[in-house]
Amino acid sequence: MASTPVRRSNRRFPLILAVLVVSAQAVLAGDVLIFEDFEKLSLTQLPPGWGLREESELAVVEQPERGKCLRIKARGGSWPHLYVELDPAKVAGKRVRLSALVLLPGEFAAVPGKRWAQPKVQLQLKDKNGADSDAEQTPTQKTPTWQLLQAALNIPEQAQKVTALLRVDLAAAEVWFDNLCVETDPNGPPPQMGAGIAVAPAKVDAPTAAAGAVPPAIAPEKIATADVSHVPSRTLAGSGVLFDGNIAARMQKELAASKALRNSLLIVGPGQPVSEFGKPPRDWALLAEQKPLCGPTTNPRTLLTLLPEALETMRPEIVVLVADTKPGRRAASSEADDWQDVIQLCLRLGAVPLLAISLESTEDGWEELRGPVLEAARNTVCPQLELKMPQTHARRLNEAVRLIEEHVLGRALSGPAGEAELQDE
Amino acid sequence: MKRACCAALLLLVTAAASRAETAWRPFPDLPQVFFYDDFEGGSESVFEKGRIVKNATTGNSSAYELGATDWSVGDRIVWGVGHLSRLPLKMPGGADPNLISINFMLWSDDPGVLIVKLFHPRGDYEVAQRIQKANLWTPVSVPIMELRNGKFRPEADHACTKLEIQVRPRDKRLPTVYIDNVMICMGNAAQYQQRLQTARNQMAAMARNTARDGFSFSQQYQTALKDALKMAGKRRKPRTVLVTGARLNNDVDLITRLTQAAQKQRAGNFTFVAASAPDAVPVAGLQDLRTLLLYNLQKTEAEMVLLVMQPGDYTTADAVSRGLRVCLERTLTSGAVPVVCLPAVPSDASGDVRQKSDALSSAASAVCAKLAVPWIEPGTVLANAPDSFAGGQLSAAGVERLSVLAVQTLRHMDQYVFGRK
Repeated sequence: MASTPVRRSNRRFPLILAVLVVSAQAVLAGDVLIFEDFEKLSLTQLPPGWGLREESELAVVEQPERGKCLRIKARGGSWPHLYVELDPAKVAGKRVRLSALVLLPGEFAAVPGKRWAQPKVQLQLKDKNGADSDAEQTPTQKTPTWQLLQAALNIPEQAQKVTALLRVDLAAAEVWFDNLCVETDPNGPPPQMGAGIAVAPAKVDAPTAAAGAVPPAIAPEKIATADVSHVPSRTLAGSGVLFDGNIAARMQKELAASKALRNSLLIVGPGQPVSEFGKPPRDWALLAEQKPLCGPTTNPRTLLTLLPEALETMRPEIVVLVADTKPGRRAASSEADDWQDVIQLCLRLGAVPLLAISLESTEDGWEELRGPVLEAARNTVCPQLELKMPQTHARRLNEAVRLIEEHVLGRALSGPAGEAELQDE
Repeated sequence: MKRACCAALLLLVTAAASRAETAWRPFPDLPQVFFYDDFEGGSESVFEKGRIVKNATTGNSSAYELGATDWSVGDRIVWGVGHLSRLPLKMPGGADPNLISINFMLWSDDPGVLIVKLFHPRGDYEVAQRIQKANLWTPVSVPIMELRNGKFRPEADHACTKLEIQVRPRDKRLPTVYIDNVMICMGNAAQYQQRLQTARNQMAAMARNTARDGFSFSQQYQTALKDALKMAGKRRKPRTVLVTGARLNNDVDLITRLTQAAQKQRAGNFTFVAASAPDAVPVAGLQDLRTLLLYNLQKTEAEMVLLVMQPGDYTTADAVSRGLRVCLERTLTSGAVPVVCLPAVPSDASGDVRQKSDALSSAASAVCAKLAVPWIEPGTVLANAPDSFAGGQLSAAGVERLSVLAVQTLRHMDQYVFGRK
């Protein structure tokens, strides 16, 4: 299902791709109202409804390996932005989504007392009573790869004004924007993967993918559901990873289409941090650790409470759920149901769950914690890896992620992740 | 030494007091009364082997007619068995058995022998006495220390499981015997009559049943819910109600109707919030409820949750029981009060839909009853109103009627669980 890498030397490709993306969006998602890749946009002759502020700080510039982009070089203390006013009549009663690729390789000094003062993509709404509301997303600093940012709003009837903005508020920062896209999303929930549709990658952060002009994540991409008849079987007793055709088929069936960031991994759970996981698998980015979702004070109910928000904001493609690695916590009476629902929650919000279980311990109270996790794993049929010897943790994680990538997400492996890498231990 | 004795005594008294505080009683305001049954509650009585009757002898009130035994050969004994173990009662459960008595009214057409018997897990003890007057209601009071079984007799640490009342007739015909107002209490039953009446009136005011009122509630529910809130120890936003499964009808918004119903009932300060996923998609179905309930509870800080069920939620009875139980337990441990609304199905629904709905309702109400969670039976207000359904789903009028009933239920919780007027 992966997007085809595009050679940078082919200068016409972005245009073709944009046309393809717009066509795909028109067919598969809501209506695309605006798609701008800045290849032909002139800031001095903007279309009707478009506008700038702090003109001197905005420019359309050539970005190596990306083509023309909008650059905002904010000197600080100003509000440079590009805005597009949408026709309220066209979006009334619909959900509108704004997205853009953003590059923020440097960092900026925070403005004291103004946490909102930073680069962002933003949707603004003024309703019929004149009340203002907005939705926005900000990029992560010091990220040398393109990030996809999105913001969505439900537009009420008789809205006075709806505006999409690419902006930097007060902070001194240099930011690049590309592939500005505004679309309506009339169907609410994204299409199901089981129907043969998935959402395209969201973030161009993998080295192999970064070389190509990956379309914005909101462009749904047709994928052929991966064939599960040739999925290799892995067992906990053999390779320390549990994976087979049944698991792959179930994951494909249950996984909701999502806006997940391509090749992004989030690790949470009472057993986290597991330092032996080391670096994430090649081409994969490890999302920042969420303190309330990790550590011995966490339990599956904490995950049920806090994980939805984290999944929505961080949009990982795979969530590694690290169950308790040592006794100490008291299990709730419905612990197995809780774990089962955490696994289901990941699937519901478009992330593939990978359960990391520590099976062996002689300490008292261990069975009380281990039993429910195993029961949940049995009931939900999900990929698992066993945390046994620390030196094997990274290898097992790598193997499990590769299996998921190939057989659940339906991507051809980009590197030499062949059988040699996946052999039983 | 004297000081040490005083401290020990004080500790004992405190321990006894705290034990008495936590012990279950049918009337929390009357901790001296362990058990009371006047047989007016219909099927709620714990007595078996006989039947509840209302006749010329008993007047307008109900009494319990003892039934014939199937084990007495020759003797025509009649009996009734009160299963105390079905209640959370521990009796004597630490209280002084010298102070406890079993009291009831008795009517018998035969001046035979009355036998009162108590069972506990390790044995039983009984006392027999002659019935003084036939064909007349007479009070009976038996101090439980009079009950014996050889050298065994009631002790403070016993927890009685059954109370048996038998009458062995003098004549060789089956006697007719009624009992009424059975009370196990500390001391004399007469001293509690007035306070008992007040407590009973309060209980009657809060009790609701699905057939008559459309939803279930009783003093047991109140106690259980209050205990759960106390254990959770969290303060949530007052009168904020999280509503799951709010899409009953594509054209009618349940949240709007609930808000309107609350305003009409002068309960306008209720806030209703539809449960949703982080991407704003409404929560619908049992699976969604399981995965997203805690997230919504944390986001909204609602103090009540209205779980609206639909026939589509049914997979298997076991899945419903387990799924709903998990959701209700999570709600209670989060410090919120759940209220379950059973599925609304038109009376002319197809056999399959009806069957699924009945199975879902039956499984859901059983779980609710077990966890003392109130539930709403929509059929009470929708069955006799033909315009409640259109095209197999709830019409606007139906949603409105259901909203009114739901708001009545929530107001009831507000008054009797959260103690607000």
